[in-house]
Amino acid sequence: MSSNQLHVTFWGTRGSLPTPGRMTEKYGGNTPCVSIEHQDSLVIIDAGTGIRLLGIELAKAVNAGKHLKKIHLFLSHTHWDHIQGLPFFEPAFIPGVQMHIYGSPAREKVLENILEGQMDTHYFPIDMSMFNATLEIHEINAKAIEIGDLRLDWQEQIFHPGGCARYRIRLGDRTMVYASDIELDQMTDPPENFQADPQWGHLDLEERARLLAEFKDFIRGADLLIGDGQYSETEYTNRRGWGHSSIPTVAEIAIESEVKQLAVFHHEPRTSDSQIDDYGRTYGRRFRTKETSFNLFWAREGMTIAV
Amino acid sequence: MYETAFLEVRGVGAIQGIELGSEEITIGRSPEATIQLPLKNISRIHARVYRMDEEYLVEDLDSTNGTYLNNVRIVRSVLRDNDQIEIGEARLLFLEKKLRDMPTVNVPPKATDS
Ligand SMILES: [Zn+2]
Ligand SMILES: [Zn+2]
Repeated sequence: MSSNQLHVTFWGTRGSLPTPGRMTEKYGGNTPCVSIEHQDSLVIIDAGTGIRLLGIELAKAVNAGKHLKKIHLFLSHTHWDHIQGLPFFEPAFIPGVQMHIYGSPAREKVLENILEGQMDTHYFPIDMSMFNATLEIHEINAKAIEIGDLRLDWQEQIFHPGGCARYRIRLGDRTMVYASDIELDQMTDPPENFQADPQWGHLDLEERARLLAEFKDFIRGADLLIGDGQYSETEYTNRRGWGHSSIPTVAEIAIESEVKQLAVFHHEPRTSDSQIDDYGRTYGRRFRTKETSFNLFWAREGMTIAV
Repeated sequence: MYETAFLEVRGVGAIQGIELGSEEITIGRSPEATIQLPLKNISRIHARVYRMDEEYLVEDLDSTNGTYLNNVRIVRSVLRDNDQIEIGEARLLFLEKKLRDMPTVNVPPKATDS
């Protein structure tokens, strides 16, 4: 492994709900989980059902006598599709494993309660005290955190019901950003589309422009952006206010911010593999231009890329 | 499970089809590679295609110029029907034939069924 590269693996790419079956086996049916590895450092973002597969890999390594790296799990938010894999994460049951879970302090003091809550006996047969690993839950107070040679910083995103954090990881001059679960169209659409919105209608144009500028600064020049692109533009018109972006909007913002590569992420549960292949062709033609070296692709479960 | 899977190699002479089994296949400039590609921008042993459980995967073997899958530089990835692996100037198409892709055949009823 080259020492100046991040290895980014998609374990779950589907939004909202797991979608097993043959219609979705190419891009995957597990809900969000991404791992970022560099030498001995392992960062995981989100604990959707995809984290189960990562857990199996890690447990295999432990059984083969390998020393398990300290696990740093960052949660973007606590919607079900981003935490529901945690009770199935094998390393959590291995004594001696050290697991740190981080989340935004915007969900003040409740992060631990929420994670314990989903393992309440009404929802799950065993409770969190059955985890044999050492577990530490942190609400991130610092602006930036260092994990080995990785430097991670984050920002809160407003345009998702309940809020959601985005994360940026840097290694030397390499940068990757995870910004899922955000309705970017709220910052680019004309005002008449959002004035009546009960959640965010009060935010004026100026505030939306400021938030967009903040988003662009955060992703600027990234080698990889894992971005919310749940809907086609047609689907989006029926999903305003649901907290997810349309593909052209995330692609345009990425290009304007000189992002080199966009992994479209959080696939809509109803979207089949062949539909995503179609998106790949149509949006690929539209956004992969000769003038820029910009590339976009649809994140696929089971794929590791070098950043 | 795959009924059969193939790699179709383009870029060196005639298109070559290789049926995949449980044996690992290496791709590179070296004569020791299963698929030898004497082209520029290809490392000695550049990448491998192998089976793990019920999946075929492609993995870059620390090559100088990288292994691309459908335009994306990868370290490793599961393979799906019609995936294009790009190594230097060469293109390798992964094709799988599953039960559901098989042409349907009408089975004539047995005459002597009692
Ligand atoms: Zn989600
Ligand atoms: Zn959400």
